[in-house]
Amino acid sequence: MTNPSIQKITRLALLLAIGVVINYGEAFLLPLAFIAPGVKLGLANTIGLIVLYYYGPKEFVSIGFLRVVLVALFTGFGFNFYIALSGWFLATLFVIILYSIQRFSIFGLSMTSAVMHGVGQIIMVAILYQTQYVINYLPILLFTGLISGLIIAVIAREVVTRVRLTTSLEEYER
Amino acid sequence: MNKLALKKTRFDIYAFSFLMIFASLMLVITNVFNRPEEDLVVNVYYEFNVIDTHELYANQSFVYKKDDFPRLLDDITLEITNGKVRIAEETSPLNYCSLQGWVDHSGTPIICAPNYFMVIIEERS
Repeated sequence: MTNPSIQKITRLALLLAIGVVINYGEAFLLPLAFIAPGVKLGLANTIGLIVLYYYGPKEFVSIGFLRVVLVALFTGFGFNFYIALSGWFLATLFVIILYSIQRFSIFGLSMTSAVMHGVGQIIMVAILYQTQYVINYLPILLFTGLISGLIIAVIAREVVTRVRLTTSLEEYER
Repeated sequence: MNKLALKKTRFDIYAFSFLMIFASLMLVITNVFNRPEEDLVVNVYYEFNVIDTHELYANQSFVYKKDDFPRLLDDITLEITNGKVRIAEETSPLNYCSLQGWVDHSGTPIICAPNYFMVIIEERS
């Protein structure tokens, strides 16, 4: 495989596939919903951070969006899809803003992403049900988001460090 | 060349502090606005509309049939006992709403998203 663009597409497709499997499987393997509805570790976000690290914001947005859509192919394009989409949108928006500021590390981005994902989900539920009561879940989602964001950042950092520190995947193959 | 730093910066500390303060404020605000009320009922929502209102302080059980509410994945059993409510039985991929268990205070919804079904203790309006 010598064509760099084919290499890139293939690797992004692989990362996307891993993200979808993690996203779908996490709810069964690591159920945290007993804390509050919507609470989860968000392991699939490690893939997002890895994509952001190796490829940049455009690919980060594309892979994130495709992951939400592909997971919906398994779970359906109903209520859950809109909640996931709004969470993804707000989280991605803030990650891109912080990334462009160039002052935050993978930790700051991951924390903000996890927290904003929860906020986005709450906003969508509040809109769909036209009730302000779901805001009661917000503190739980904010605190758990902070913790999960830190855990995800540690995992993503370990992955990119072990795969190859500060080198592109192309260099890794040589 | 990537531009994402792997070592934490002082801006990460600022972000963490800001988010912690924000979360704590939200916790205080939601508790202040969540004062116990006198006249509470259980409102049942289907497809974002109230379809039923039940007395909270009564022991009762209700079954919402898929035949009557086609977007339910299957029948849903709602239980109300001594001022608390729960979804006793439901069908959904992750069973979030039945796992949530009993809810005994106003303002905390039990949401069965895949079923377009929600239960919440609210002030009688």
